[in-house]
Amino acid sequence: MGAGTLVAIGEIGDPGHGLTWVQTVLIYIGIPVGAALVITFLVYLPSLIRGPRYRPGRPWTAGSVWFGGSIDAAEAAKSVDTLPPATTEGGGASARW
Amino acid sequence: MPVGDAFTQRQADQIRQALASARAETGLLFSVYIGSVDGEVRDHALQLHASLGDDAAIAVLTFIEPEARRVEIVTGAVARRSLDDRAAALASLSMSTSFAGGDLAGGILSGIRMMAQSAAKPPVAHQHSAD
Repeated sequence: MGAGTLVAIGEIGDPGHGLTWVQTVLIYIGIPVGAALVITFLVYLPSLIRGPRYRPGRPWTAGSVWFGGSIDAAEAAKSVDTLPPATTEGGGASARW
Repeated sequence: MPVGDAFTQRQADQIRQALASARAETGLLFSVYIGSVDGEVRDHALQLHASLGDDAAIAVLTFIEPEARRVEIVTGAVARRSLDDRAAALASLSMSTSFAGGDLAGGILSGIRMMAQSAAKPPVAHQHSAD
């Protein structure tokens, strides 16, 4: 009985009209490309949220910023000819990485 | 004030906040400069420190050169009394370790906190016997 039903469907079922080329493109290209885009977006999402990241050894392209200082650090430093005692009699430290 | 492309707005706010509270705790003028320079990094750091003028004596400048991978801490003549070179060296070491792992903002924040903590402590007085 089961086999008979399957055969019957195969024989009397209406296969319908074929896919138009628009549907074909959507199904076989649109869906894979869409899925790839979604996956790519999900992969890059964490770094988009985290923001730009410093990588040691890469050239520095981010410009300069002086937190807690005057806006134009370059101009400010150029205006200094000789170091005052307030700086030379100070101290500090250096480190490299 | 332009933040540059190196930090998110949130990170920049955290750094400014840390600088402000470090200043409140210690009375010293903390600032952080990040940028690449030509030539000797220490010289640039000293010049920038000197450009603070009257504030230079109480200023603590952290100068970060990401391309040369150098961090320079410059303390003013007065600031040095509460933030000695050993404490500065410790902070610079901590910062450079974070920077080597790519964490600029985190290194800056912990460095500022370390310096503020050691500067806020009263300087160790010479031991005198009580008698």
